[in-house]
Amino acid sequence: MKKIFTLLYQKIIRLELISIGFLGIIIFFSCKTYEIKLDNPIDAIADSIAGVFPPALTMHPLTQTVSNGDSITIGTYIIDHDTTLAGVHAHITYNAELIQLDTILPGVLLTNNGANTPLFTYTVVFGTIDIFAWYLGGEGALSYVTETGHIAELYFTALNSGETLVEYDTTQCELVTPLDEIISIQGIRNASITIQ
Amino acid sequence: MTLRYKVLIIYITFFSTIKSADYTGSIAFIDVVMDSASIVQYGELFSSMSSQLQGTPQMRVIDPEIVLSVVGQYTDFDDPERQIPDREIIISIGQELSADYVMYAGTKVGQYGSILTGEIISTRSGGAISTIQINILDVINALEAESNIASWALIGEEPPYELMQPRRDLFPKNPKDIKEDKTPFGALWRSTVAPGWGQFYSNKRLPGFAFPSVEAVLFGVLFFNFTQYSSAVKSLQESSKLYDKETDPDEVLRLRKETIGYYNAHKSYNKAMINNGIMIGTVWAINAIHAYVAGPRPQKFIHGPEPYRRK
Repeated sequence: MKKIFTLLYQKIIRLELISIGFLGIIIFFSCKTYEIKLDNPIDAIADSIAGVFPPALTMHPLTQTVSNGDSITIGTYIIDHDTTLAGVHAHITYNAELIQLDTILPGVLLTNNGANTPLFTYTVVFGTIDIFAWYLGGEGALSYVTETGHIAELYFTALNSGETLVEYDTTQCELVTPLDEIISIQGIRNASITIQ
Repeated sequence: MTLRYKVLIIYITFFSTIKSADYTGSIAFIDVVMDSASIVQYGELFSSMSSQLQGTPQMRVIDPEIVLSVVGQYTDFDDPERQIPDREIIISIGQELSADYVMYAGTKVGQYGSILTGEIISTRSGGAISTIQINILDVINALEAESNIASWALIGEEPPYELMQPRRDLFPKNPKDIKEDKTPFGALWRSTVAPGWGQFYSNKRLPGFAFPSVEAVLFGVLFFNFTQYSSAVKSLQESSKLYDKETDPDEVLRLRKETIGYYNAHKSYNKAMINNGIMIGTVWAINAIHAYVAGPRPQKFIHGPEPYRRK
């Protein structure tokens, strides 16, 4: 009986040694802490950490890498304007030799998820886009918004290899209230595109 | 919290060290030629030896009837040519009898009486303590000597050295004279390799089971923390990717909160794993130290306090 216990104990010791070694190796190689970078341009907190304070105009995603001929989608957003917003003029520039604009679609902010129909127009001149979106202020209808939201979605096609910024020109961008008062833009975040 | 656990572990370990210190000596006399008929004769011998060991209250002679019943499991008493069992079996018998020392011997009837020749070995270490020869007639003389010693004690005087000498010669006087097959270092390296191994080597079964059990529990906790950590890391990476891609403002805020939650969880499980590792290492070290401290070594003063300085 004693010999059985001794043999059993020797087996347990052997198993324990194997387990300890195995577990030790796993833990040694996988036991590390990760750092996170929460930098979504639609996140007002992340923007504040990046030094961009609201109300701000941002683009999502901030960076993307594509190949020649690929389509590129960039969303334009207004962040935490915290007041009544009735109209937007976004003046956007980009390198037209590298990317070509295909189309622009209105975002869900001013359409109130399709419930309203704001006036939405845009003009495209080689390398520049002007987007205008505003309410006409009909009585009883929603004539302003107060929250973070999507202004427009820009669709491009990559033409040549290189790197370009799709950026807001703050000197010409404008946000207005229903009373046509200017809302001061405190910050912008542009998009960077690398075409391989 | 971790400190409280550490204190608890240290307390338990040292408590078990104290509890497991095995200093209550007992000796079993094994003689394969003895039988029921000779027990009376041997009983006299044992009681003589017992009286010699009275000066050492911690020494106890195991009842020969009990010894006989255990020896009977290993030896065929009906075989007239039975041999003394192997040394390992003798040690096993001693361990089964919970004896610290075993004296195994054979008797030879000589011209001047029966001579009991044998060896005393430690059941804990397996080491030979002494090879002795006792003339049964000497034992009778020793009985007389004990009576004299008692007389001297009654009148409050120290008995002469000559009376004490037979008592002294029965066992070695110095622990360093004991040849150890097992050593504290043997226990140390074994427990360093695997917790509890050294304790089993020293026949300390309770701590032998306790240390690997505690280590197994700690490794279980470590494994649990590791699985939680891995899960948190996986969720962190997934949630972080979703956060980067998300464009709905409300969903972005939700994912931000969720990602930070997973980040904190993975950090706390990582910290728990490190603390767990420290605890495993601490228990492992305590186990090795315990194995060394409680390891097999010569027991001091097995023959009782020195009656006199040697002349």
